[in-house]
Amino acid sequence: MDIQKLYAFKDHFAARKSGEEMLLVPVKKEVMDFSHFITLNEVAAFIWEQWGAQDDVSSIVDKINAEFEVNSRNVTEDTISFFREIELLMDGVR
Amino acid sequence: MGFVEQQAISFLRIADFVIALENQSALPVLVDDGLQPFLIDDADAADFTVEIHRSLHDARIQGNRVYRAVQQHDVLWEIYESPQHRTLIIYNPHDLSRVQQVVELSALERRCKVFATWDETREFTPLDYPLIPLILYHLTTQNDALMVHASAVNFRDKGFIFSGFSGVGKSTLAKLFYDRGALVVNDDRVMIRKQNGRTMVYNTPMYYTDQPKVSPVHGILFPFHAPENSHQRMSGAAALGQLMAFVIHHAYDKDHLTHHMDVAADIVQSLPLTKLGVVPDPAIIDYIWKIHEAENTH
Repeated sequence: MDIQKLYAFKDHFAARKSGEEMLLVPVKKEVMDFSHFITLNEVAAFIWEQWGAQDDVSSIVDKINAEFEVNSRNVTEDTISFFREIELLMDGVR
Repeated sequence: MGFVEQQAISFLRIADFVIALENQSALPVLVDDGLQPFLIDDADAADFTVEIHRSLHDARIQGNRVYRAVQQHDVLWEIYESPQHRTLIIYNPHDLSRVQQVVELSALERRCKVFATWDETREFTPLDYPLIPLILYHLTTQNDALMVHASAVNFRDKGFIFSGFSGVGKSTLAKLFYDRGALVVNDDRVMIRKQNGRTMVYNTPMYYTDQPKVSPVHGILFPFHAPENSHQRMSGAAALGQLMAFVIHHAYDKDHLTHHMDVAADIVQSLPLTKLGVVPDPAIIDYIWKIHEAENTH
């Protein structure tokens, strides 16, 4: 999965942390409904914050492994799954 | 009905924002019944100034279109933006093929110029809806304030906000509280502001006449129809998302959106936000009061 291509659309979201979680709201040119809002749990919020232009899935997984005590195999699957959801969300707003 | 005379300055106080109206047209400006209770005699300083001009031809539309407010397929108003200016084109709600006002907002100044159409057979009404709500929206992008789809009441000196889509029971709850002697701040749209560390809720001018009202806020509730009264306290990003869902925001400007999220996050930190299952009868009032008392004994 090419998350570097996806990165260009990261700026199309306003993000705000609330405790350990995070709310993402898309920036849009027309009226939107809140079905486009997304709440991120602690790990997903960490991914969003750490996600840089040069990152690929494996570098994100490395960052997660360095921060959290988690099963490394599941992290890769969960990270890909996270970016698939983000991709779907971005399809709706770009 | 009231007037702002030619070349005169009047002031509106809405949600504790002082808005100066500088009438630079050669006509008296008619202020409608909804706005008139918000006129004040004088003010030391204004938070925002509206210069009123008569001719649409003097307006300059600069930059690219960045946002359109669309209802079904009709454009109600749109925004153009250049690095220094933001221009709103507002169409006549009764005839959307006609421009009603053009508003030039400077990015750096706390003022705007309103250029309005004038039908010589009628009074000059450059402040016609939806100009004032759009100016109030602009003020929320510059201050710790939010406009929210909500009703609000003050009951036994405690303020409660009920926010949600049309049909969830905002107005019904306001009516039930009114019947028990509460002050109804408004039953459809309110302004929330942080003032000296307290969260306050205000009404804003509507199409009908109502006096300016204000209450401190002690809780924000999100009603939904339910077979029995119930509640669930919210927190974190879910609470923030729930509040943001009913905050009026144009969402094309990331800085504005981020600002509104910051203000909303501060409110989420300082007030209880609660999902409220509602059976629409008077027992809900005592139920809400018990929730409030339980919050304050913890």
